[in-house]
This record gives sequence, C-alpha cells and structure tokens, in this order.
Amino acid sequence: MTEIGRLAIVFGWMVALWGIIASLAGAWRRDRSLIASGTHAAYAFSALTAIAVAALLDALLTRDFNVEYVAAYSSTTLPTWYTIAALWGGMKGSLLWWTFILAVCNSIVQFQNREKNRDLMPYVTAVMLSVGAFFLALLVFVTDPFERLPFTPVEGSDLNPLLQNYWMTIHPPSLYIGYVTTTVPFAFAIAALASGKLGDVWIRTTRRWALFSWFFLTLGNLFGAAWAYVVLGWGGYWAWDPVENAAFMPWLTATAFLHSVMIQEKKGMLKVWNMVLVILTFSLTIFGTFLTRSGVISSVHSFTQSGLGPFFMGFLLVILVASLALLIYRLPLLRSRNELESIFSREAAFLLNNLVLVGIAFTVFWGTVFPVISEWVRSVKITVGPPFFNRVNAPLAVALVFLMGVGPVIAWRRATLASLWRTSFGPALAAVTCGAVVFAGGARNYYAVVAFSIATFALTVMASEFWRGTRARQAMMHEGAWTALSRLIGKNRRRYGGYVIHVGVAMVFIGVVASSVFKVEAQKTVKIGESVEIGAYRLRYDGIRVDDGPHVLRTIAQVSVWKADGDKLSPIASVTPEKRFYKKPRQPTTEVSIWSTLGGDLYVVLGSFDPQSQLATFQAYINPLVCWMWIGGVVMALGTVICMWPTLAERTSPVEARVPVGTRVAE
Amino acid sequence: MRALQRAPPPGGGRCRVKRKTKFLAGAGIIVVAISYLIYSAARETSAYYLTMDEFARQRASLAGEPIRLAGRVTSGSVHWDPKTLDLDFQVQPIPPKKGATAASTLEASDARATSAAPVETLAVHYNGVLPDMFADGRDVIVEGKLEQGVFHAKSLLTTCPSKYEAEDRGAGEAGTSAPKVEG
Repeated sequence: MTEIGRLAIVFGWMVALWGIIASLAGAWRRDRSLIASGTHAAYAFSALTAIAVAALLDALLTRDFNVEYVAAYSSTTLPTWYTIAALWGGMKGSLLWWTFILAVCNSIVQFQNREKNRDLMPYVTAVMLSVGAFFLALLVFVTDPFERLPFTPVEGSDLNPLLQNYWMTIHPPSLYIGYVTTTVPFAFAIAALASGKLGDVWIRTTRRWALFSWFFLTLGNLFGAAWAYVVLGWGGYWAWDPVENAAFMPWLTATAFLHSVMIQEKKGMLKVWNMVLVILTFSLTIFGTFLTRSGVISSVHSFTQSGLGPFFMGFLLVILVASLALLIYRLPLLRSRNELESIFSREAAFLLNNLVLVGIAFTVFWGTVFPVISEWVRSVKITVGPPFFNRVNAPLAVALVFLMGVGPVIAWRRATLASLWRTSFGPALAAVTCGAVVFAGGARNYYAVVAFSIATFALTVMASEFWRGTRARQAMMHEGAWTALSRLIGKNRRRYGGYVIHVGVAMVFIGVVASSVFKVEAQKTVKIGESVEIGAYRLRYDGIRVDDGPHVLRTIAQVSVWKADGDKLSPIASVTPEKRFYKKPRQPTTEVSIWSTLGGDLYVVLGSFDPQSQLATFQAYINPLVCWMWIGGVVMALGTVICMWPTLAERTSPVEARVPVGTRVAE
Repeated sequence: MRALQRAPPPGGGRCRVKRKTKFLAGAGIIVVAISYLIYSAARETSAYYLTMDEFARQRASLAGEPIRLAGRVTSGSVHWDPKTLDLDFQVQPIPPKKGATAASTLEASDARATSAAPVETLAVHYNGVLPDMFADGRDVIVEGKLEQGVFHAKSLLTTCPSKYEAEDRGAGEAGTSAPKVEG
C-alpha cells in the first residue's frame, strides 16, 4: 500500500504542476480546453492525495512498523481512534493531511464555480494547485511519509501521550481546516488582481468560505485551549506559546477581514485594505506552519528541527512578493467609491476595530519573533513571556469589546452626540451599575472592574438590539415573541448571527478576565487523611488507587471536596487527579481532575506521589467563570452557523442570489 | 461596475483634506499607543535568553538580571524534598547535537569551543512540583535570577531534542513536554 501512496504523491505533484501550467496558459490564450484541463487536474489532484492519505491510514491501522512514520507514532496497544489521529500527530502525516484538505477544498471550489466566475477560475485553480504542489513537493523530495526502515521493529514508539486526548483528536483537524480554507479567499483575491476583475464578485463568492474558515479557526483555537487546560496541568489554557500565537494571528486578521469586507460591500471602500488582510491572513497560516516546523523559535519550546524551515521561508517570501507586486500593479483599479464622512460614524468604528485587531496581531507577531529580531539586531537573544502579551493585549481587548458595543448603536455615515446618547444611555447605565456591583463585591482590580463594565455594555447593547427588533416585528406583523425573534434572526441572518457571535465573544472575554485576575492557587504536600485548603474549599486526601493496564499505568488519588459553610464542612464532590505512566514511550504524564460549575472550576493536580510514604503533593486552582469561555465558544460557533446558513433565495437559485437580504450589512 | 469604480470620489476641496488629516491623526494616535504598549511591556517583561555557554562567559555581569537559561541537568546533582518541594540541582552546557541543523549550529560551535575546558556548572534552586519529564541528564529551561551564585528559578521547563509533536505548550510552572523518541 505504501508504494501506492508514494506513487500517488509523486503523480499528484506532477498533476498539480500540469494544472498550474494549463490554467495559466488557458487564461492567457483564452483556451477553454486548456482551462478545462486545469480543472480536471484539480480533481485528479484530490483523488491522488486521497489515495495517499488512505495508504498512510492503512499502514497505521495494519500497524506496519516497517514504515518509519507508523513506528514513530503508533503502537500495538494504541486505541484505534488515536491511531487514526496519529495521521496528523506527526509532521509528515500532518503535511499530507493538510494537502488533502486543501485538495478537497479545491475540488469543492471547482464544483461550486463550474458555471460561474469563468474569468477568475483559471487563476484560482493555479493558486490553489501551487500551494498544493508546494506541500506535496516537501513530501516527495524532502520528507517522505512512506519512508521504510531497514528493519521492522516489533513495537512502535507510540503516539505522544499528551496527544492521546479527545481534544487533541479534534483540535488539529479543526485548525487545519481553518488554516487551509483561508487559501480560498486568497486564491480568489489573487485571481481578481490577476484578471483585473476587481468588482465585488470575488468577495461575494468567498464570503461563505471566509466565514467557514473563521468558524474552524475559532473552534481550533478554543479546542487547543481546552486541550492545554485539561492536559498540561498548570491551571491555565493559554500560555502565549509560539504555537498558540501561530494559530491566533490568522484568526485576528481573518476577524478584521470579515468586518472590513462589509464596508467594501456596502460603501465600496477599503478595497486595498481588504486585499492586504486576505494576503496577510493566508501568509500568517503559512508562517504558522513554518513556525511550528522550522525550529527557528525552538529556543524555548521544542519544535522539530526538520530542515523544512528554509523551504517555508522561501515559499512565504514568494507569496508576499508576488501578491504585493500584483496589488501594487492593480492599485489604480482599487479606488474607493466613497470616503469616510465623519470620524464619528459606524464606518469609523469598523475601521477602528480593524486597526485594533491588526494591532493585536502585530503585537503577538512581535512578541513571537522578538528573540530572533533581538538576536539579529543586538546579537543577544531576548525573550518576552506571557506577561508581555497580557499587558499589551489587555487594554486592546477592552477597546475591542467596547467597539463591539458601540458598533450597533452608532449611526452610519455621521452620528450625532444626541443620537448616540439616546441609543447608548441604557447600556452605559448597565455598565456603570455592573462596575459598581463588582467594586462593592470587593474587587479592587481596576482592570477587571473596567473589563466587566465594558462587557456588560456590549452585552446590553446586543440584548437591546434583539429586544427592539423583536418588539418591532411583534407590533408590525402581530407575531408571538418567539416567532418574531426567530424570524427576525432568520430574515437578517448576517446581522443577528453577527450579534450572536458578539455575545459569545463577550462571554469568552468575561471568562478570560475572571479566570486570569481572580485565580486562586494552593500547593501542599499531605498525608492520607489530611487536607489542602483553597478558598472556601477543603480537599481531603483519602487515598491512592493503582490501575495497571497494558497501555498505561494509572496512579489515581482519591480526593473529596468539602465546602466550608460557616463553621461546618459539607462534602460537595470528589475529584480524582492522576499520575499516568505510558508504557511504550516510557513517559509519565499528569492527568488533572476538574470539578466544574458555572461559577468556576476547581482544578486539582496530583503534583507528585511517593509510593513509600504515601505522601502526595497537590496543586489546586480555583478558576472563576472559566466555563463561560467554553460556553461563549459554543455561542460563537452557533452565531457563525446562523451567518453561514443559506438564505431562501440562495437555496432556490444559487447563481442568481446577488445582493439579497443575506448580504446586507447591519443597519 | 468598471465605471463605478473609476468614478472620482465624491466630496472635494479643503474639507476633504481636513477630514483626511483627522483620520490620519486618529490612526496615528492608535499606532503610537500600540507602539508605546509594546515598548513599555517589552522593557519590563523581557529576559535574556542564554545557553549555559553564553551564560558562563558573562556570568559576572548578569547577577540580578532576569534570565532564561537553557542547560542540561548534571547527573547525580538532583536533590528533591517532597515535603518542602525544594529542588536543587546543577546545570551544565548542552553538548552539540549530532546532525545539528542550521538553527542550532551556532550553539553547537560555541559548545565545541569550550569543550576543552572543564565543564562549567551552575547551582539552581527551585520550589514547586517536579515537572513530569524532569530527570538527570534532561535539558531544561529555567527562568529567574542569579543571586549570590545560585540561580533562583521561578519556572522550570523540561525540553528535549524532539519532534514535531513536542509542542511544549506548558509554559507555566509545571511545564511538561514530550518524550525523547529519537536521539
């Protein structure tokens, strides 16, 4: 099977090259048959990468340890589900998986546009296949996933235990889908630049793809945070690690794009800016891949030093130079149809939101590459840690949430103070009240007080938008409240879906602020029967249970949670933090135990355990409101689905849906 | 469509110029604010990142500075008291890797230069739970300050020359990392 896989990637690479040449030549000579040949190459490319993935999966599932990849990332005792996840658990497999997703997207794009956008499509095909060809070239010439060993080991070295977690099985695919689908808007942007068809067609065509990509980037980031939270055992979910930053940066620029693109659709402004954001987002996904695989920023965290770095760097340079050159060449065609009329308008709020988002992306980028830059400039490596990112981004995040609240209440074109005051008086009052309550409740962290007030402001604005819209429908259409609300959302999916996303963002924001500002920590070594005190809780160490299986040895601490209520203690829960020992890679891991409520999480780690004395060291954390992060994430996902859902008009005649209700910007 | 795009933007004259200046000033303020945030935060939170070799050469000048230091735990030097969570050990330079890639050749050549000299070590003190992967001979990154000849580490990370999935995310106190699957 692996020989077939190997052949498939070699042929896939050649087919991609042909597709690029055929598409470009076809566009140049206006030769329909050549363009059609390019399209066929795109389909063939998908089929060939699918065969390659199937071949690698087959090798994994049949546990063919003669294949280097299989021996390195699986074992005889690895559960089937994780064996499938091993497909993207290693670098070679992840590159193949990436190429496969790209190929599938490419085929979907080809199919969707089989009768549309004929001027753009040859370029789209060429761009998508170029990216695909780059990735396959790495697999064909540099790092072969089907490489065989000179001998056959009886056992594999197993998948990294840290990856043997359910979040880890869905986190990488989500992130990859998010990363890869940014290629679609990018390809269309380049096609628009190359063909000179710079109307709004490319934006309308890729709007749903951009949302789809954003959806998966959001989920990918949140799943990654969830994984870090439940697996790494340091009580947090985000450490501003280069890998996390690499996934966060394209999310930021993609978010900026989704906002500024509305201004282009509505006002014909920001055309160049949107191009820049699309190019930036795609480049950042490649940069992220580069970062995690090159070893350039390996100083602090151990990534592979695979020697792929220069290739990615070169590819990135080509992308940036080529797309910026095209952009500059087409600048005369990208004039704005309108100009901003007032600095005090919704357009300006959108612009400001874009600046802040790109500003955050820039600070994250700066902090991530700082060691490299400082080494070039001052020949000494200087690193910045999480405090840097937190300090810089906290005020920016507050500003962002504030703008999220201001957006819906400020008028388009030109707002007056009086109108703004009328629409934002209620929410502002709610915000001040919330701030006062938090302050009266004893919080003396002013950042948190301000952050909660601003979040309340944004949430109240959203709530009143839903309320007013629903009431208006009730009055005009004589509908019941629920019918009115669901129709309100259904008829303005983009606007109200966006608001739902904003509600989710505010929830995530609250969760992040509360859990980072009001976190409580405790650490103690105790004998059986003794307790660790943390906040209002007592954690009593009741004993140890050992569970010895063929794959993993588990040492499980039995801990009962008691809550102090006045003088008396009452039992409320029990937690079972573990130490695990994975037998194949001979690696110990720590398994945290979390008792989660809407008010906060009690996060307990078995830090160390001494079998002789039965002494156990526990680390415990109280993370207030942290679960609102996950709830907010679900709300964001829901809102995105509402936005993406096709409108009735689009469902009945997909080609004719031009500027229907769905594409109207929030008014 | 074309015609629309090429149409000259509405509005004109001095009013437009004035407005444009205003917007540019607004954008400028934001850029300056973000730059200031970056500058001040970087100044207060940055730390030198040094390998043990580099550290050994400029030891005297580094007392009291925030430092991130990469080194290897000296065999037999680990003292760990589970009751008080006090951990003491020595670190020494990480020897050059076999088949080192471009990224690490610089460090490698540094190490070769000092290999003739006796191995330089540094005492490290840390209080907290042992990371899962901490052991004799492991490569670690400690973050903290040098005080009276002892490196007081606020955080302790274990790393290893590893593969792609050793995405060491645990930058917290009890950092964890991947197994040493290949040499």
